[in-house]
Amino acid sequence: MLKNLLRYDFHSGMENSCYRFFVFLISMSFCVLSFFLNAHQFSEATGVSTAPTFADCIVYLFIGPTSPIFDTVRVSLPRAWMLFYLIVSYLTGDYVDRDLHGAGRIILLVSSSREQWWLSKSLWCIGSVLLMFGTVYLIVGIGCVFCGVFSFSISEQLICSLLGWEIHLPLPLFLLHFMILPFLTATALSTVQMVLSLVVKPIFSFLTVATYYIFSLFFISPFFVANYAIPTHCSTFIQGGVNPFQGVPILVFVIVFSWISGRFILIKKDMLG
Amino acid sequence: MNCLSCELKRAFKNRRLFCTVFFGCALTAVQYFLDVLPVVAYLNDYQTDPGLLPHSVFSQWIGANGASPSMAVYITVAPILAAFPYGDSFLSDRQSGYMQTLLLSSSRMKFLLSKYIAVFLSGGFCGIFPLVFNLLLTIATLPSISPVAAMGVFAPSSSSMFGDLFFIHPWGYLLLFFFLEFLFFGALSTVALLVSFFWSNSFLVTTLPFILYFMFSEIVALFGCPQIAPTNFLFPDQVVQYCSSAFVLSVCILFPPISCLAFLLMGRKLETIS
Repeated sequence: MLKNLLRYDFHSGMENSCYRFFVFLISMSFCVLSFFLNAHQFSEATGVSTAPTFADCIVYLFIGPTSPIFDTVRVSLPRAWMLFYLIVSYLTGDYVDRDLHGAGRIILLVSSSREQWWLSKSLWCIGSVLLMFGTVYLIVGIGCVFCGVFSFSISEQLICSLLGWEIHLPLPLFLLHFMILPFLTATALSTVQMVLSLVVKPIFSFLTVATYYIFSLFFISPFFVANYAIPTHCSTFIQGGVNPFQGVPILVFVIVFSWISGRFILIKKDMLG
Repeated sequence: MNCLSCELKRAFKNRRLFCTVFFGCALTAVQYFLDVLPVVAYLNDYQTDPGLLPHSVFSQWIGANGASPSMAVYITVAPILAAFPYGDSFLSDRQSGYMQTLLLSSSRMKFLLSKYIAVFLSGGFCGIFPLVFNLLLTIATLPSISPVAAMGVFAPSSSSMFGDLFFIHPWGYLLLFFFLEFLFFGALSTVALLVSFFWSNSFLVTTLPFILYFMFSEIVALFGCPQIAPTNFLFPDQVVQYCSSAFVLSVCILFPPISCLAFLLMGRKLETIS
């Protein structure tokens, strides 16, 4: 039964999010393009012929705020970072609510198992986030084929010039900061948003999660779990930052806790009312 | 006229508008508690030194304090706050059959115009009310001492867009920005009306103004043109210098009539609006 539910969710969810996925694709393509343009400008200005790498572009997209966030004037918010995470939230925003008011209700009745229905929705959510990360890596990979090199080594000079940070990380730490933690954070907050949309209107759950993401840029604390998706807020990069190794179990806990809360809410929910 | 008053009543007397205003005010109240109340303790310190300037409304309210997380959230989500209360009403009226019933007693053009005005006004109102609320709280707490350009502590400088106005008539400057924001967010919320002709998903319709505003702002900023991003030119702290006043005025003034015209033409072109 779960297999059929999953098939339905992936088909219906993709159909539902088709336009939004296009928005995501366009936005991320522009972000990647802006990176390669900046890298090209850097090469021209300095005369250093550094070919931007896959890792450079991933760092550029996922690094988060590169300057101290508290200042006397308005902070420059990390554009590519915000664009990515807010569109991920936007994409997974209303599927459960929409489905509950449409064909999903019938599917729920036919499946006769609320737990499996909810599990299927949760797996769809994880799958969607995975697809979006995959899409970004694909866009970056295509960009590297034409304008750079496909390598996991970070061009320190280029990154220092573009972002003002000297980053030299071994591969496992690079993967943890720029690939694993961002994925887990996006999944955790999308799951939380999905649970919230069972209680309030999807637009309010989206607003709540967007607010939470933006507040995380200002407050370095494990209570703002989006900090784990901001490498510059981690203890590897700054003193007093959040511990990235604690991030993995915390984010997994958030995902599991959200799933259990959602299941509890769904079991109590009056579907036909 | 009946149609317009009915639409206005529906737009302003609804739970969504109340929730949106509450959310917006709560957000700006956070800034008040984080940035305005703590400086009250320092007000008396300035009495001994006439060379110093006390914290004032014009340096502390949310519109002048872009470093606040509340302001960052507000700048980002303002289009959602504007479009949520009544942006998808045209869609829901069509889907529920209410519009067809209304059209029996009113002309189509009158209905469309009333709908546009109601969405525009509710969008503009929700777009600026939380800022006005924060300004009023700050006025009630701090003195409204006129800004002094030489102090260099105010968010817009004299070289900013309308910078001279800020230092000569600060209230005029704030009123001008409120007016521009009202026009912009009002018109932006009516984009939801335009897409209601093509889409039937309320979430998509309500969030499209946000997506357009956010994507455009972020992408032009990534490509080195932050001065044409609404997130930068629309707020009084003016984080980006060299915004063109002619550009900003023309965007804010031309956007509402263009969106209105587009909505009326699209509404008129349809054989049956159903």
